Amino acid sequence: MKEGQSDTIYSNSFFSYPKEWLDAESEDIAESVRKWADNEVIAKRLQFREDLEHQMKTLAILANNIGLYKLIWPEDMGGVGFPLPDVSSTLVRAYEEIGRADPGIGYISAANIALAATLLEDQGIGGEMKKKMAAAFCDSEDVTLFSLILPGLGDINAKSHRIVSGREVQAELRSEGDGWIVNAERARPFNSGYNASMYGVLASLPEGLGFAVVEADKKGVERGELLKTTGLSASLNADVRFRDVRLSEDAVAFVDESFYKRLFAWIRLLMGSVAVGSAIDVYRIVKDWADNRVIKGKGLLRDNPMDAAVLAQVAMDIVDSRLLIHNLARAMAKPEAFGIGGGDDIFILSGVISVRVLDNCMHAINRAMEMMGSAGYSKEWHVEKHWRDLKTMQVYLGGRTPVEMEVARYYYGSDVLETKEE
Amino acid sequence: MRKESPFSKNMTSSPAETYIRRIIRDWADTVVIPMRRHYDEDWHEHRLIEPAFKALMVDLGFQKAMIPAEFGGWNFGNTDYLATASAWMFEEVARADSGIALAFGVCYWPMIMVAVKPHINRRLCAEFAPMFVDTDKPAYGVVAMTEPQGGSDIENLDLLHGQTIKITARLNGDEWVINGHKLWPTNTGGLADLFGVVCTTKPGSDDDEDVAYIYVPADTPGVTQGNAYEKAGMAADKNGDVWFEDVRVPSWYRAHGPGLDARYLKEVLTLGMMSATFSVGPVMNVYEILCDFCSQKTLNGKPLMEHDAIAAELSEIVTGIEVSRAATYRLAMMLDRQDKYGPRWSPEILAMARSTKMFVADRCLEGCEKAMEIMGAYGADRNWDVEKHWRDIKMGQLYEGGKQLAQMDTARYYFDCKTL
Repeated sequence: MKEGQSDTIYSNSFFSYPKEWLDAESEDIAESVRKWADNEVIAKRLQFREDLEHQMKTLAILANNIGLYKLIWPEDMGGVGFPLPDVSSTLVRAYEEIGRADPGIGYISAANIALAATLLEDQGIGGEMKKKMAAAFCDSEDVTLFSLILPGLGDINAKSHRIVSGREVQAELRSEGDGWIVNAERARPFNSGYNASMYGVLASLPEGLGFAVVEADKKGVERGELLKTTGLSASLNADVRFRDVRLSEDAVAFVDESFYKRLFAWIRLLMGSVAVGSAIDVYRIVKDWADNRVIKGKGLLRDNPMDAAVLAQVAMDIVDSRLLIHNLARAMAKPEAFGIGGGDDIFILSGVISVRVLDNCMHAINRAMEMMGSAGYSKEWHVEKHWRDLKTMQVYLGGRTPVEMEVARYYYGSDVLETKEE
Repeated sequence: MRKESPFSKNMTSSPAETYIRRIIRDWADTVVIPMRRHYDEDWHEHRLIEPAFKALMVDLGFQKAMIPAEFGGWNFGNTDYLATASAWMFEEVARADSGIALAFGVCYWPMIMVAVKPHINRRLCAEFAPMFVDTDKPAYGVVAMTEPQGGSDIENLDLLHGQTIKITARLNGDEWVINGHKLWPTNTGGLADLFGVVCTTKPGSDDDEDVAYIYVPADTPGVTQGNAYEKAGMAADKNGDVWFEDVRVPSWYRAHGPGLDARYLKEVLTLGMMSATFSVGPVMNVYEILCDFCSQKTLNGKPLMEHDAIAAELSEIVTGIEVSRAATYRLAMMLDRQDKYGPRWSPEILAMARSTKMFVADRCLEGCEKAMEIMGAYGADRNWDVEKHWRDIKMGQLYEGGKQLAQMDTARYYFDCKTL
């Protein structure tokens, strides 16, 4: 048994991470999120289960009372002014704690913070759009929920669009008068398509790419039926249609592929952090199980060598994953050493690490479930929710093959995923 | 060109198989598959599930399948074809819904002790067969095994010989008096009609003679079924707590008696490993879904199935299906031919059954996981049904003692381990 285990088992440092990359203020933020996780979510799990109203209420506490949504916005826009990209390690710690509580809340808020970070870092995006977005993140008493509509799988029966890194853009923009018109047919959002108040849309332009902010109550915005999904219940999703939705001039920014790569690097960093937190919570649950269950009528499960080997794998997966995700954060925080945000170096590294971390965390949870037998899939024990949530996150991130293609292109020059005109 | 059902036929295929598969497939395609994506919300009420189950068990008559002909059944239990026939029936049902397949299979499970040759107990068959054959409602059979604290210890008969069983059976005159608490049996949560209860006649004993298997009709005074547990999937499979408080049944409700109950209980466990089919059926359906999805959706401008890297993954999935089916039907053949392979309760057959079920569940789960990843966001979408199969197969991997007990039973036989 690790020395001092009983005191540190529920502390944030039981699984090592590089503390020198976080300052005292960042640890304070993480501690606040930790208390939120324990008091607002974990302690009330059996009462609220996956109740959406409770999830949104707790997200509002996280976003507004703790101030997570203001963290990275400059002070002159109403934010706290944590500098980008240095804040990456701080965000990783915060999202580990959120993932421990509810990966679904982590997922929707991570998508929103990733969008904010990408907009702030993209020098090509104008001040008006940034101010408008800052207001949504910093001035709202409720949580302004952004749904991301990003490139994904294409459809053989639908009109084809521009391809970015093998994925097909799901919307198209054209200028009209002094504004823009956006159209999309059955776009599958990354998150929250059913109840978002705003859509952040990466769309094709006649030449290049544009990023559009679309208010959900605009004429021509049509949401489909609520999709039932495996997990991530906090993200109510639906396919979305835009039928000649008219946008003002400042609702659209010209971007290039680096916007997509930067956004995805942030998404992968934060989702990886959520996954690590989720696996840490499963560790806590399976440890409790192994500490209290008897095998062969006598010894505790944890003292049986076969079960000890399974428990060890759970811990090893978490140790690996936590170090990997903190390393990605550090790489993103040091562009002079590891490559700029939006470049291939960080994009590829984020892909490699997020695939590994999600695989590891799913493996950890699967092993824990195997040891818990039927309790592993009983809702009462909550492990199955982490399992469903992380699997859903894994597939919403696009799965393994597209990342493998990116890696092959980067490391071997493989001509496998081009960016193509429509 | 791909055939409609491209997977290899099993080596012991028969005309009856083709006929019965067609009947079940018609039921699956018309009754279950159009509704199954609503089953998760029906886990407690069974308003959708119960009529589908009744159509299979009563209207089509499948709950008669194992009962001997002399008691009005289809006699499968009295043939050399029980496991193989179960395999293709279960596979077809599980293709539509693994939870229904499990509930279906478990309806037979308690009667294996007395309705399967060479140990048919005619008095008990006569007593309980009408529940399955002369009825207009499904008869839910239950094997009540798992107990609080014990986990899969009760299933670990070759090591523990019933030592950890807490539920007691005490002979009082010509009645057994049963007391104790069981967890998790399939077809409980208020559904159960007939329990086969695994008890001890001498608490703490590690002698097979003291393991008793006693039938208890669910309406016997002193039997209480708790509410169904909420789970990750398999809504058709209701599980709950069951309490037995001074439950009295006739002494002849014990299946066979000292020693024989433990022996044939091992056979019950071994035949339970035909639950490998509850993984195979769903992943065969996943293949059908992938055929549609991967021809519609594109990556890098090409249909997914024409993308070399995706095709490699698709190949892994169908390889897993073919090998899993071959292993499952080989196991079925071994279970059916006791003259060649030995009795179903032998450690050799148990090890073979455990390892096959473990291997098949793992491969089928991997196949589902690959499918979900290929489908991206659509893989987690209930409308495509793949994620449902993924949840169900995972549960199938874990029940019946879970993976670790399967590993121990397998290692114990092949390496002659003494203390596992």
